Amino acid sequence: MKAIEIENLSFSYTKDQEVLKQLNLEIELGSHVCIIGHNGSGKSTLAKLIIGLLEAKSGSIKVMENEVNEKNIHTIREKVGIVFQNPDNQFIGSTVRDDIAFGLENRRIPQEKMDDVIDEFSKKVGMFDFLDQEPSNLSGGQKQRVALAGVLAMNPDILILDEATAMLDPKGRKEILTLVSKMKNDNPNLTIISITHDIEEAYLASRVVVLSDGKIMFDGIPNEVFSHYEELLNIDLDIPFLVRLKRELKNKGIDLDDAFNEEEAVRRLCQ
Amino acid sequence: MSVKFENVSFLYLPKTPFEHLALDGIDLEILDGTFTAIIGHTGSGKSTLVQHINALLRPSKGKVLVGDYVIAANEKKVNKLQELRKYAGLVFQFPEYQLFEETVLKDVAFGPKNFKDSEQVALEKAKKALSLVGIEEALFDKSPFELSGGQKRRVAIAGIIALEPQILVLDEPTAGLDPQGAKEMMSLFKTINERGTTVIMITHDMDNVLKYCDRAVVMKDGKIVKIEQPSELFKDEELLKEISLEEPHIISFAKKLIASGMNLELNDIKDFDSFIAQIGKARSVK
Amino acid sequence: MKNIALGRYVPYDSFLHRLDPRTKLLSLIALMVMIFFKFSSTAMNFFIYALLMIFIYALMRISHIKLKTLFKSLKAMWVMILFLLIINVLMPSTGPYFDIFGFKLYHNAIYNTLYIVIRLVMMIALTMILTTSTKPLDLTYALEWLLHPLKYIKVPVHEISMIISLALRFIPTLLEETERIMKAQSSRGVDFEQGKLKDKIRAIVSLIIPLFISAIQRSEELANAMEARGYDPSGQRTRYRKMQWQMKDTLSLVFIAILFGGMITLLITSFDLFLMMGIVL
Repeated sequence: MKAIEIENLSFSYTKDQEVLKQLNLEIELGSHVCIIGHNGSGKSTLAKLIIGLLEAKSGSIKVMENEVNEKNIHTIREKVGIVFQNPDNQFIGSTVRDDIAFGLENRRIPQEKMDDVIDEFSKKVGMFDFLDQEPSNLSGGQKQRVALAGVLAMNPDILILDEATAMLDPKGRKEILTLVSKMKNDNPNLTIISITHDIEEAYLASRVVVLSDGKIMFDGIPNEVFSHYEELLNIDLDIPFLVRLKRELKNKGIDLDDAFNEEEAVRRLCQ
Repeated sequence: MSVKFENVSFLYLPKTPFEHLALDGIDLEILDGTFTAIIGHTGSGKSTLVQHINALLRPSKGKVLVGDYVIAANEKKVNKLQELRKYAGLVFQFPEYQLFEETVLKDVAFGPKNFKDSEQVALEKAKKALSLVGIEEALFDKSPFELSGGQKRRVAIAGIIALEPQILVLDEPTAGLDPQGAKEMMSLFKTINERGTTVIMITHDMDNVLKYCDRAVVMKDGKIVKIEQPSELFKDEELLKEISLEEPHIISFAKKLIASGMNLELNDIKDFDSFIAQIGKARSVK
Repeated sequence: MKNIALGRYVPYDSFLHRLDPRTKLLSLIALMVMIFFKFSSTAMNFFIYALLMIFIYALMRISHIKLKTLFKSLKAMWVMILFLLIINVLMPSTGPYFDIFGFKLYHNAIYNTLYIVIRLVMMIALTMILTTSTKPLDLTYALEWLLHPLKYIKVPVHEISMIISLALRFIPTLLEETERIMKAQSSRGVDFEQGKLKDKIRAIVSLIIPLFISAIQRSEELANAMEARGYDPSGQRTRYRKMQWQMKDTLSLVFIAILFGGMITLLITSFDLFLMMGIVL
């Protein structure tokens, strides 16, 4: 079984501009995939299509063998959780506690069981001490941690991060990324799809998909994808530090090609 | 003529349960024509600090001198407030949210008109500012809401640049832009700075601090903990740790190289190019 | 912006704070109705008002509201009270009057004005007691419970209560946003405090349009987030917040019911304490 199977997916908001063009993509269960692309490349649209917030014009999306359509929408949303970009606009409850409870209420979890779940997941994201706080007293990073707790409390098979760290400061960003990788360690079966601008985050993923103009431009392991240096710069994407370093040093006649991490690069440079 | 903070404190929402000392005894001087970075974590008082420069906030204690203008505590009115706001232009974080006019050109001309420029002069200034930020003429008569995110940001920044301020204050101007857009934005500010405008910028991006700024003001809990040249700042391991500041990637890598015996001059590393040049030099000497 | 403290929830641990919001809401309604009862004589009216005021003052003490706070919130009402007085004085009336240089100031006019002012003060005090002792969200739940029967005539009670609680959740966010946009426009030379009418209108437009646009964007993103987390307005949901009905709620309601019943009895029997005692005012 695949986590996501997308076939010939097309989508447009207006008649004359297609955002996604005949897209094909498969994502394995338990994998950690980063989807990168410049603004307007269609990456966030893709996330909304997967979770059924938008409807495809043509083509099909399957989430764990369930076709995404009106009839299956409840099943889809049980399997997929998503954290959006804006920390304020996805904080629904009046306190941290109520926000985590919101999804549980929708799931019709019995009230007696909710407190245990809320305690468990707020502890996991380090927000247990803030359970009775209102969102206006929390930082952006803390709100995103609450959003993550709210989504994980519903026990999804697939977690989509739709630029979840884009509006955070470096500290908040780091906290979220650490948290996500901890979640992944605790539950290796969790499929993570991270839509991101953060090129260093993408470099650490097991697979990178580059979207450009509604099509997949590159798809593969990070080292392979980022070897397409010029093409990526051409579509306004950044390059991971190590890749750029190796590239620019090579132009100077210093070859580090097989250095797979920074320590190795340091060792070779100082030989 | 400069920006000067003299023992400035700011009490947020005094006499309420939310009372909080956002600035605590700030002494700071920013010289004309410099490019200064204000850094520190969210909540350290950076935004509160810069909002004193054009008197959006008034000190609870102490005083702020901006050019010839004085903003002192306990004074109900700031003398020549409008003039001050033209002298020191402030670009807020995510400034695209302030757009409201029917066309791009009108929106940028809105500021100059408020400062009593005639319609014609305001439009001239607007056109100049728009071309400076790289918005082509074809977009002038479009609604600002039809533009892409990056274009909106430029238009909003042009709205302040059109005031032709002597001091340009920027609150995280590159947040949320894609890398290319951010780069263009930063070189725009450098150009403006080179024309003689003082630039004061709040940022979380240490690469930009290193590459563009003369000085960095480091804030924590409403206090200034350090004022330093960026290259010196990133050498101060203890401070970096104390305020959990992430140094630029090139600096952390260069430090690793130095630790492994390479002979690099940290002070000469400003950006990726100079970093590569340094490595090349060190290798060839060997 | 955050210091608009009127009627804002203040987290004390008083008897009133601990009461179930439903009890408080029902009692408020009952008391509000009682305020508007009109008894058989002027003296009787003022007597009952005095009793009610003492009771309300006691409630204020219990919920830690100072008289000063109440008067502060009445400040804005002075103009209205004056206006009411003038209207009442100018209205033709009957009965005894004071003759002030040929102008007939009827006793009734003074009484009527006083009634309105007293009712107003009591209404504000009662509302204040409710809102300072009850979290907005609990109030929403109580309201939803109260309106529950309307469900059967197809009133979307749940949706209404969800809308209210979301509005409450976003008020601080929107206030912050308002402040931010005002500052941003001030930096572009807008003067929100003074200026000619034309400038004032422009200033407000420069605030309202960005505010609307961001609110619309927020609501769209919020709707997405709610839907993605499985919210279905027509579907069944469980409830995390359970209201706890306790003995003290029952007793409080019984007390209010007795009070209410007593008043009704007085009203129906046209009982007049003063007439009985042979005092005629």
